[in-house]
Amino acid sequence: MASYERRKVTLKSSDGEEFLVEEAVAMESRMIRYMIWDGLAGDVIELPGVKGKFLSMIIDFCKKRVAWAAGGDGTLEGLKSDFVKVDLGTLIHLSAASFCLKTNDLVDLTSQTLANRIQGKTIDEICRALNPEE
Amino acid sequence: MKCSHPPSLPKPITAILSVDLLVRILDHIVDAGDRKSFRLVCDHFLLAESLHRRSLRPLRLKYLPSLLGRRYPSIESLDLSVCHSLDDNSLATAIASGSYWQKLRRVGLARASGVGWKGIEALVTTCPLIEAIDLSHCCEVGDRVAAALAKAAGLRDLRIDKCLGVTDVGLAMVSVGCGRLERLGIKWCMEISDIGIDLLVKKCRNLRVLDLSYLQVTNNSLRAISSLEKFEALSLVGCRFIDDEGLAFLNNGRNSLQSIDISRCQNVTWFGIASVIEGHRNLQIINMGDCHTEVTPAFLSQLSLIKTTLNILKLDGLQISDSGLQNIGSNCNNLIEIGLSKCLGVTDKGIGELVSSCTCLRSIDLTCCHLLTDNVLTAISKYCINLTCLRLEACSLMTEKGFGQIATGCSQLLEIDLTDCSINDIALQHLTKCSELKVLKLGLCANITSKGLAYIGSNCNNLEELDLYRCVEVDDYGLSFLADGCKRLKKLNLCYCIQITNQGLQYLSSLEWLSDLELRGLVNVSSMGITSIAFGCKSLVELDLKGCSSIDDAAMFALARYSLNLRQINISNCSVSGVGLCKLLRTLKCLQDAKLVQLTRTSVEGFEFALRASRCKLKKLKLAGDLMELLSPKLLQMLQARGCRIRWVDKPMLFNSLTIE
Repeated sequence: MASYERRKVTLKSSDGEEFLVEEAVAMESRMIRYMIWDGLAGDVIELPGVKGKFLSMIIDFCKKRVAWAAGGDGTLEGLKSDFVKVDLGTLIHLSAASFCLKTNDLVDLTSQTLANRIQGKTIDEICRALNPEE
Repeated sequence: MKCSHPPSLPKPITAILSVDLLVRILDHIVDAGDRKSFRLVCDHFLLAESLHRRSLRPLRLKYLPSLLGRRYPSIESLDLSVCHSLDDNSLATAIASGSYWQKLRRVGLARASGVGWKGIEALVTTCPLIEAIDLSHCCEVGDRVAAALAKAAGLRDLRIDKCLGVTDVGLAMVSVGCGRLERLGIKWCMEISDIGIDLLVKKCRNLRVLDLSYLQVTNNSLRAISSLEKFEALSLVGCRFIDDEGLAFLNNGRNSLQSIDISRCQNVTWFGIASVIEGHRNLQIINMGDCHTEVTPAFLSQLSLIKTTLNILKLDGLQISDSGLQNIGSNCNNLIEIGLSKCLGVTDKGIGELVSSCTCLRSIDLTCCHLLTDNVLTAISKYCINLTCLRLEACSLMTEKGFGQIATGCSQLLEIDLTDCSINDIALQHLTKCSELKVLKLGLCANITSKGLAYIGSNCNNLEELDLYRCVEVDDYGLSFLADGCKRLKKLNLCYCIQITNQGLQYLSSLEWLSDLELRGLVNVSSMGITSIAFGCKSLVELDLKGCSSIDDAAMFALARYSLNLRQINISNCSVSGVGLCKLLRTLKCLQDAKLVQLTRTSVEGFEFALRASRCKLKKLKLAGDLMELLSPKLLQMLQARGCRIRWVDKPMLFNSLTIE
């Protein structure tokens, strides 16, 4: 499995940004994983549904998680809570991006956080929070 | 829906938050109020909620075709217990008219007294996937309905509690037809005997949960039940003919039982429970309240056999000593809930020993343990930091010092019952530091003033239930704090808080989620106050106005116009005439329960007219005994034929009988 771990792929976002990542990190996304296993992916994988800004945040999380699984310090809970310490607009975009990339635990995490932020608010407050200026 | 059309959010947001994503978010939103806010944000959110919705509780049968057929395609569970004017024929017709019933798995028909075998047969034949039916408290249901139920071969959960007409024959039919039954409730079905239980056990081998409370079954039933292999929970509340010999049958090596409730069984002693424990080492719940037995050391040492699994122990009404409590503490240190309500002999020392060993306790019931003082509260706050529920009714020796300790030590507290304790404003200042509080009961605490309510309003923003029964110093000013701070309040009891006037009710009208409001004996409140409540509290379901002598027809008109969700009302001793009564009973579509005793301004003709106009949606009525002779027999027959049960109360007809205070 050594060669598999050291291989790198390039992920290209919808606005043209490119990220060079290890295959192990990229495989955290189910969509990319199945593409690679089915042999449908070249060296550059295009992700038209995800913007660069959010793709970089997700890649960052995946890198940290792979490092943690390999015996790093810190806790998974800590990593997860750091990931969602963002404003509502960014959280929505991250949720949609995770959904597109099929990283299921990130989808669960972001939707749970969104639910927590919506709970207890009135209709007006929810509308204002979701205002597209963010 | 009469709400204004929701605005649409701009396209970018709705494009990003796809319906699939919104459905994932909805998986985590459980509270009904939050879901309502969610679906009213915009059309997109409304669509997501409609797709996600799995259960529905309609108020009217006629809208079901469009609701089930088009708007909510994923409905699996239908609760028809509040559907008004539900009778056999209308249910059967509704089921026959559409194919959308086929997806249903759970149907609730509790208290739907008009439903009979035709409706049930239609339900069972049209819904092949049906696994749970609840017919509890449909008192007219009998063996003919049981025969119809027997055709539901996939049925797993059946509740026919208080279906008084069901006999052994009906139960036999259900046993033969529904072989996959896992949960059965036949509480109060007095005609059922050992014969029915015997056949039930032979045919339904997958039974896990059985409720036989108040039945006249004997030890033979227990012998039969002991043969079940997957049996987990048994409830035998008030079974007079069960004794220790019967419980001993359960000790046969099956080891599956997790919960047993033998409260109020007069002939059961600790020895019977001890033998059950011997045979089932995974017991989690034991309820032996109000049995005529002692808590002996032998029994307590037997409890150590289930040390790791016992979570809930209820010993209400039994005599227990300090050493007994100490024994419980050392033998059952995984206890999560303990019930010692009305136990004799409970002292500070005993409880102190108990809580020092049982640090996992989350619920402690010490109702009417009069001897307890602040020392107990100190001990609880030190050891039971995960406490969520504490009941201290009538523990009047406790002071604000103790309550202060509780507030600091048990910050997760959700529910506290301090009825008849000596609570004052300072104690409330401490207690309200528990900001997660949901239920606060302060009945009979006459020293609480607006200052105390101000503390509640500013700190306990999650409060859902507040009981201020006979807290006579509470006034309008205090209510303003409540209305500002406790927006989620659902149940409020202000009976006999006589200083409250219309202004106080005006403040309360801003509580949107208020569903249960009790205002007995408020002589200074008039129809204007009730009008503001009716207008503002849109979720009002239960209203008690007994003894509010200044309430007249104007209040009835307001309720009829605005309180469209009202299901239960008590206007006894109000100054309501036939006109107001008729308007109320005729217009409110959901009204099911009305208490109309001592309406001195209403004539017999007024009652006659109003009850006829109610169009037989009422299920429970309470009327003055004199009216039994005076109302026309035809009317009474009509009401009873449509499933309405009338209670006749014999009280002397007094005028102005409310000047008691």
